[in-house]
Amino acid sequence: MKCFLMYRDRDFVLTKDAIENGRELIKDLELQILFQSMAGGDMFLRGVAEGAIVASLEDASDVTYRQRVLMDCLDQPGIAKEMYGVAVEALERERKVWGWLASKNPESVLYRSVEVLQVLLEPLGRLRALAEGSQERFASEGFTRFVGRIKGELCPEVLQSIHQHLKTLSFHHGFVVSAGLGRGNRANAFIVERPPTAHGSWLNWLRGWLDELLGGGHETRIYSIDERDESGFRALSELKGRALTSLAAVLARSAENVHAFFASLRLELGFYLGCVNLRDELARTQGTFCFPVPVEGMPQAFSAAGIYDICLLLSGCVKVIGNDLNADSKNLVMITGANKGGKSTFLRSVGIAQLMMQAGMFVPADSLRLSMCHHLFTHFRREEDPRLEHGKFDEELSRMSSIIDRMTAADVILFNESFASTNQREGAEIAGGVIKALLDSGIRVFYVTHLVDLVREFHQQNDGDTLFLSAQRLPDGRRTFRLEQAEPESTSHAADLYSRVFESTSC
Amino acid sequence: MRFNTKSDGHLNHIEHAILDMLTDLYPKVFSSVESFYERYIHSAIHPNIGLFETEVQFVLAYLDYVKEIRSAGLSFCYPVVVDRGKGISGTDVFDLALAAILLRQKSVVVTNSFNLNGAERVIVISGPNQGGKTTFARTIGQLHYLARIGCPVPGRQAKLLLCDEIFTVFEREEDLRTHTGKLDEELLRIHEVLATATSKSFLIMNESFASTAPSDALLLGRMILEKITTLDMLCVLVTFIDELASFSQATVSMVAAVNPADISQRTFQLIRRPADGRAYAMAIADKYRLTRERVRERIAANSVGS
Repeated sequence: MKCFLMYRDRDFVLTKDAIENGRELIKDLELQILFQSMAGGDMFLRGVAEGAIVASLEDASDVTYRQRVLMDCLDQPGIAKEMYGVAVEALERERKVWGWLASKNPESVLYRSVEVLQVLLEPLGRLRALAEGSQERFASEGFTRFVGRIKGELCPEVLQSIHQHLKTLSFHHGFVVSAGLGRGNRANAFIVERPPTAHGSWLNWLRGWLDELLGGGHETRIYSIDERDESGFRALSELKGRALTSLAAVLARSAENVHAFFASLRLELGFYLGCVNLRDELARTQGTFCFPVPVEGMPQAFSAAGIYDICLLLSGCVKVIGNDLNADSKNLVMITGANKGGKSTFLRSVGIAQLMMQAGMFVPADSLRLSMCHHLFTHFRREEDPRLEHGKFDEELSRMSSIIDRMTAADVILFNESFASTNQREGAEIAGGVIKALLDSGIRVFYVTHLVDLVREFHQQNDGDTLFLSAQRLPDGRRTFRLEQAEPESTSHAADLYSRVFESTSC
Repeated sequence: MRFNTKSDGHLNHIEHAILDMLTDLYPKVFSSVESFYERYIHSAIHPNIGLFETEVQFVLAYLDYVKEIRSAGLSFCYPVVVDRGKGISGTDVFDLALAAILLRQKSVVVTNSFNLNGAERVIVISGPNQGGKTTFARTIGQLHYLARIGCPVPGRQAKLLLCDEIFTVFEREEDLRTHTGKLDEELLRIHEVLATATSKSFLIMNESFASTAPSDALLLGRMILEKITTLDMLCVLVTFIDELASFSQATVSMVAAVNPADISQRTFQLIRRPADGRAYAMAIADKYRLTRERVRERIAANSVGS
């Protein structure tokens, strides 16, 4: 049985690769803080949040599918949490079952599988009861289907008959096998017989069974293996193993299926519960959010109201400023202006919104209409290489080159003061070449920079594709942390900072 | 020089911290052990012998390290240490840490020379990326540090100032939690340094003010250099702002040289000459296939492949 809460038609899986590829994004956008809030103290939820956010969806319809499921969860967090709780408990119970699924011995596989199925039966029943009581309360395609399927497939009769079968299969009184003789008189074609419902001592029980199988009046023979006969016990166990092989395989598969169902339920609901945690955290910190409208195809869309850096808010900053922005059909957004004016923060807010949208989540903004992208990349300045191998500029270029290796059309890249670790003229020259090539290739570029020559060059040849934003600075030098559409300036007002640092305290 | 005799070279600082907590928790046990130790140790080992044992370990370890590098043909010398006057110099000096790495890789270690005369106080290093600028700045810092602890220094000859403090200002990454920008942090750090520095201090600044507009960086650089020269302290400044190299009588310009035959080849030689404003960055961009045409081709190839 499949959950299909994350995708319409496939399971959600966590892959190490995605997280490995997302390492730079996580670092540059400070996503750890977001994951932390989604985890709400649960390391498992954190892992799910991380995996889901770095592995972006590619179709707008998939995004909408998740958004709807998420809306249901935000509406009915109680039921989602209960279902999640059932899955967690089921997996916990299973973990406590003694034995090893990968064992080579069919007999122990059989007994373990039966026991696993038995302990998982009760949670299945509870899940069914939860589904029963909540069907009317869900509106999304994902949840309605999920709940419907549970009700259909786990009806009480089915659960009851599974229960009966498992009871039979636990072979409390041993089991009877009929077999044929094969080559070299070895037993083959084993059939494990259904035990009768007789009571009493095991000998009576066996007799009753044999009577039933063979008709009354047959003699029986009993062979006892001497307690000290170790090789005898080994041989018996080998025989039992051969007899039980196919039965054990079927049961192991069933147990694995039920396990996989609960594991996937835990994973998929885990993502949504992470989002619920985040919503609660935003309610506490008075952060706004909305469900974005994902846009496919050309021209590029990006219009936002009150978009802000959620990680900054979650990290405890009280005054987080939102920005309004209309960058529809702009492929290049250049951000300049005052130091400490909120440029990096704005850049991060763009990247995080893109990632959250493409994970099917709500976004930190009052409204957002944004084009889907293929991959998101970040190129932020880094520290000097501690291994003394590369100069800073060299490191930047080599990192850029490795990004280019992975880039395709319809990607988005965020640059934060890239190519500034060389002199201004050449930095601008290299950055200019790279940006133009990216734009030629259909890649959307956001660029925070102090490279005046670079900004000037794009400003002069602007044919409407470029949006220039500037960090606002009031006449008295104070920053509003708001970005406004503006002609590029040639100073970043570092002198303000200098006088603040050096003149407020006597040096 | 005296070493803290508590550190016997076997425990690391974490173990120490734990022990400290333990002694705090169980003072009785430890104090009785301590008094026992105090009472009998002196009759066992003379304190001077104990002290010698710990101190000589450092000296021997340093000499071992030096020996390995010397065997590759590099020179070490005991520097002439002056405690007044700023006429410092060094011949064929090199970065001690990098040399060990390079020798392990069987690469060549490039040595450099420098000198400050008369009113000269500040060495301004500019030039191409990957040209050895930061390495050279680090080298001069190392020389002063090693001289201060009485060690032979990496170089054929050296005359160094016995400075009261060595300060470094290297760019750090932005930290969201502190809620301040990079430039802010840099200025705060420089302010902190200049507030405690004296005329006998030594300051190394590496690519400061890179996160602001060039005109601002120049302005800030000038204001800071003004303060440094007023303090009359020694300074090594690595920068991309060529104008700073000719700031005043106090500044000396050194440039990382390139191979004239192939500008993408660095020589790692630092030469005393006016800054020429050419960092040859395009040559490096070409090396990384980051010119406009190459980038376009590469992305097109990826898009077809995917």
